[in-house]
Amino acid sequence: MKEYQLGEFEEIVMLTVGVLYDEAYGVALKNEIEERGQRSVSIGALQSTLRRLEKKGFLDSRLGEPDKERGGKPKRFFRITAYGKKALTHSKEIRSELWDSIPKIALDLKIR
Amino acid sequence: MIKKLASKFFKFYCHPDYWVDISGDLDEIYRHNVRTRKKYPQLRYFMQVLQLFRPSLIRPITENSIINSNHTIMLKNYFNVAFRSLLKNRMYSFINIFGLAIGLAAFLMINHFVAFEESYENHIIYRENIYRVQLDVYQNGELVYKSSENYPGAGPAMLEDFPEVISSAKLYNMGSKNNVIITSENGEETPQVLKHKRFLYAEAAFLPMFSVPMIQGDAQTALEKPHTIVISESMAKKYFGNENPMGKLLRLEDDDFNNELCTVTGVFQDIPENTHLKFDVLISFNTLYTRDTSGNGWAKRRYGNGWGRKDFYTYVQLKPNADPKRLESQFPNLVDKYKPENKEKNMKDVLSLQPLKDIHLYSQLTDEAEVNGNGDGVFYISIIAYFILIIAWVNYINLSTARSFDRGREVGLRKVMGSYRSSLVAQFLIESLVINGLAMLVAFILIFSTGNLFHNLSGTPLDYVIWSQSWFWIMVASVVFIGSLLSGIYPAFVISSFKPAQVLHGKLKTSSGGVALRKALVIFQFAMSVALIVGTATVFDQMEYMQSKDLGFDMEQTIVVERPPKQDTSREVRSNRVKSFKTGLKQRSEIISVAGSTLLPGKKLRFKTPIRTNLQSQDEAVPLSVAGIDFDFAESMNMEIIAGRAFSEEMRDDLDSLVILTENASRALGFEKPEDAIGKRIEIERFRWSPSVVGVMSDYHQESLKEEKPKTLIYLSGTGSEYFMIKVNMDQSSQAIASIEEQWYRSFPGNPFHYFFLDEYFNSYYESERQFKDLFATFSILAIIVGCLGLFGLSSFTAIQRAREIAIRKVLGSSILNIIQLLSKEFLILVGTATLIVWPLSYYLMDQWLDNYPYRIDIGWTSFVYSGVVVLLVTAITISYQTLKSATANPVDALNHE
Repeated sequence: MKEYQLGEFEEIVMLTVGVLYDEAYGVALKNEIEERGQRSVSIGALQSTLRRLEKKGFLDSRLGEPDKERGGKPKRFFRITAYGKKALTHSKEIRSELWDSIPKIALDLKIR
Repeated sequence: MIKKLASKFFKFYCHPDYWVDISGDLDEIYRHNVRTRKKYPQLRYFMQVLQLFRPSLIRPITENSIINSNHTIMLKNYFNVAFRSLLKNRMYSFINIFGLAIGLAAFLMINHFVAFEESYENHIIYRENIYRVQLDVYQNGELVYKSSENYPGAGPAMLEDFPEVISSAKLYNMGSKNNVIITSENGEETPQVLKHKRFLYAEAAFLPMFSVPMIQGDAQTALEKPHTIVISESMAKKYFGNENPMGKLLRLEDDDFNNELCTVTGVFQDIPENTHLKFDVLISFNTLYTRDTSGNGWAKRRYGNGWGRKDFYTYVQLKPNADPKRLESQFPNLVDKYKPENKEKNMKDVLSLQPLKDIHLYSQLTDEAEVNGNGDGVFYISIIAYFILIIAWVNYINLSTARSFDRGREVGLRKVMGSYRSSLVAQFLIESLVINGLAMLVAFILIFSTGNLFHNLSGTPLDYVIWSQSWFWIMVASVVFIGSLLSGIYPAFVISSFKPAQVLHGKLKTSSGGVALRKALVIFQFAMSVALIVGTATVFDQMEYMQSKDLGFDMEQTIVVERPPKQDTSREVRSNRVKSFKTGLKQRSEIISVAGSTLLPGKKLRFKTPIRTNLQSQDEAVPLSVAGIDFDFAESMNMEIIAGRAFSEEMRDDLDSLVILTENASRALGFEKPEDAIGKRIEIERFRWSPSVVGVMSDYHQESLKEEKPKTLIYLSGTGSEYFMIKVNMDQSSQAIASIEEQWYRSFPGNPFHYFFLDEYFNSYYESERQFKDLFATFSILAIIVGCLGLFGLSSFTAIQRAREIAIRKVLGSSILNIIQLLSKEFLILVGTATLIVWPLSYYLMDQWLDNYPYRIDIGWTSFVYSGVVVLLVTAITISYQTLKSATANPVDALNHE
C-alpha cells in the first residue's frame, strides 16, 4: 500500500481540492487552507505540492479562460482523480483504525 | 521595479509548463495586496518568487530548455576547474578565502552595530514627523545653554498657533527628579515597593503620538484623567503577577511628599532598547495639576502653559507634508508673543525642531534623557568596515596578478585548444564567485562561532539580530556579487588576454602593468593599516587621558545612596532622621565619611539662575549652577578650598547667609583672583537672596571630560541633601554595604534600599567611547591581519618565483643575509612608502575627531613612530617565513630540474 502514502500537507491540499470542487486553483486553495487551518501557506509550498500530486496521479488539472485580474493569464483548476480518492480513503481508514484501537483509558488519562 | 525584476527572474527559472498559471496566481495576490493596502506588496511578491524556487518547479536543465546543454556542461566545467584550481594551490586558496572571510565577517559585524545604532526610534510609526523642540538660551548675546528641555507652555502654544502642528506632548520628571517609589496596594502581606528610574509624567497625546503598543487599555484615553497610570508589561507582571492589572491601584510617593493613589488604565508592551526615551511607568500629566494645594492655580501655570521654568520635554507631530524649516522661521514671533520680558532682560530664546531620528546619534544637549550615542563614532567605524572589505578584496587581486604567470600557461593552453576569450573571462569570474561565496560561508561560521562576544563588545542587546531583516540578505548577496566582480575582473581580463604563443614560449614575464598595480595596491592596503594603527593609538590615548585625568575630586571607594523618597513632612523629623543616619554610619569602622549634597558628580547640574554681585547691574548677571552641600562634602570628596574657608558646623550663620564659589564661578562674576571674592555680597534675584562669599573652591569636573567644568555657586544644604556619598574602606566593602543597608532601614523605615558606586556611575558616561574604542581596536587589528595574510601570500609567491634567481645568486656567492635583504627590501620599501603617505592624512582625521572633546590630548609623534615601527615589524615577521626558507634552501633543489 506504499503507493498511497500521503504527507500531512499533501493530504490537506488534496482534501481542500475536494472541498473547493470546481474552483480549486492556486490562490483559492491558498486562501482556503489559510482560513481553515490558521496557518500561512506559501505559494511555493502549495504549487510544488500540487505538481507533485499531479505527477503521482492523485490530481489532474485543466487550464481555464484567460483572466484580466491575473494579467491575462488563465487559472489552472485541479481535480481529484479516482486514484487520488483511493489514496485519501486509504489514509482516512488508517486513521480511524488507529483511533478505534486507542484503549479508552489512555484517552481518559490524557484529559485529566 | 522590484516586481518587474522578480517576475523576470521567475520566468527565467520556472518550468515553462507551469509558468502561465503560477504567475497568474502571483499577479492575483499582488493585486489583492495592493488593493487591501498591505505593506510592501512588491517585496511580498519578491519573497514569494524566492519561495517558489524549488526543484519541482524549476525548469529542467536538459535539452529543450533555453540554456542549451553545451552551456550547462561548460558551466559545470567552469565550476570544476575553479574547485580544482582551489585544491591545487591550497595555500593560496586558504589565504584568499580566509582573508576574505575575516574581512566579510568584520564588515557584517560592523554593519550589525551600525544598523543597531541607526535603528533608534524605528518602531515609532510617525517618527518622520515627530520633532523635539530644542531650546537655545542666549544672554547678553552669549549662548548660555542648548537644552533638550523646554518651557511647559511651548507645546500648547505651538499646537494653537500653527496649523502644521497636529499634536504635541509634554513629558516631565526625567533624569533628575525621579526619586519615586510605587507600591502595590492590593492587600498583600508584603506589598511590592519598587523604586523607579524609568518614569515619566506624560500628556494623553503621548501614547498615540509615539505609537506605544498597548496590550490593554486605550492609547487615546489612558492618560486623560488625573491619577491614572500606564505601566509596561514587565512592571505589570512584577506588581500583579498573573492577575489582570486593569483598574488596580498603585500608590505613588516621591520626595516632594506627593502621595497619590493611581488607577492602572493601560499596559503597554515593553519598550525596545533602541530608543532614546526609555520608560516603564507613565503617569497622566493631569495628575500634576491636582497638586495645587493652595488653590490659586499655580500648578496650572507651572506645569500647564507657563514660560518660566524649562524642565519639560516637548515633542510635536507635524502634518506629513509640513516643512519644518518654514515652521521654525515663525518661532521667534512665538517667543516674542509669550516671553515679552526677554527684551528688557537682554535674553533671547531660540526654539528649533530636532528630528526624532537624530536624537540618539547627533544630539548633544543638556538634560538629555540618557547618555547619547556617538554619531561620529558610528561614522568612523563604518569607514573601517569598508576599509577591511577593500583590503580583503585587494588581497585577492594581488594574489591573482602575482599568479598570472602560472595561470598564463593554463590560458595559453586553453586558447591553443580553441577556447574563446569570452569563456576564459567567464571561467575567471566564476572562480572568483566560488571564492567569494566560500568566504561568505566561512564568514558566517566565524560570526556564529564567536557568539555573544560581539554583542558584548558593541553593546548591542542580544535579541537584536539583523539576520531577520531582508536588507541584510540583499547586502550579503550584493557584497558577494560586487566582490566577485571587483576581485575577478582584473585577472579575468588581463590574464585572458595573454597571447598563447608568447606564454607557451616562456617569453611572457609578469607584465609590468601588473607589477605596478600590485605595488600600488600593497601601498594602498598598508596605508589603510597605518591609518588604523594611528587611529587606534590616538583613541586609546584620549580614553586613557579622560579616565585618568584629575577630576578635581576623589570618587574612589565611594558608595552613593539617594535620599529616601518616602519621607515625613515635618522638617524636624526629617532632619533628625538624616542626622541619625549619618551619625549611625560614622560610628562604624568600615565607613570613613558620610557627606550629603544636592549634586552628584557625573550628573548634570540642572539648576541654573542668573547671579550677580551687588555692584553689578541686572543685565551683567551670569547664569551659574546652584548646588547645596553639607559640612563634610568638600573634605570627604577631597576638594580643595583655595581661598577663604569651608562651611563649618560651628558657625550658625553658614546655613543662610554664606556661599562658596568655584574658581570658574568667581572668575565669571568678575573677580580676578579667588581672594578678591571673599566677603563680597552676591545677588540672586530669583530667590530674593543676597548671601556673602565665604570661600572659593578649586574647579572640578562635574560631568565627564566631554563637558566644560561648571561654574557653580554652592550653599549649605544641611538636611536637604539629595545624595549621600559614603566613603568606605574598600577591603571591607561588602561589610560596609551591609551596615549601610542596616542603618538605612533603621533611619528610613519603609524605603527600599538602593546604592551604587560613584566611579561606576561616573564612568558610565564614557560608555559610547568605550564601545568606540573596543570596536575600533578590534577591527583595526582584524584589518591588519587581513592585510598581512595577503602580504604573506604575496611574499611566498615572489620567493618561489625567484627561487632560481636566488639559487644562482647563492651559487655565485651571495650570503644568506644578502638574500634576505634582497627579498624583503621590496616589501619594506612599499610598506614604508605607505606609512609616509598616510601620516598627514591620519593626523588630520584624528585631529578632527579629538576636536569633539573640550579636554583632549595633542597627537604626539610617538603614535606615528609606533605605527611605522609596528607595521614594518609586522611586515618583516610576515614575510620572514618565506624569505628565510628560500634564503636557506639548497640551490640544487631549485636548479636541478632545468
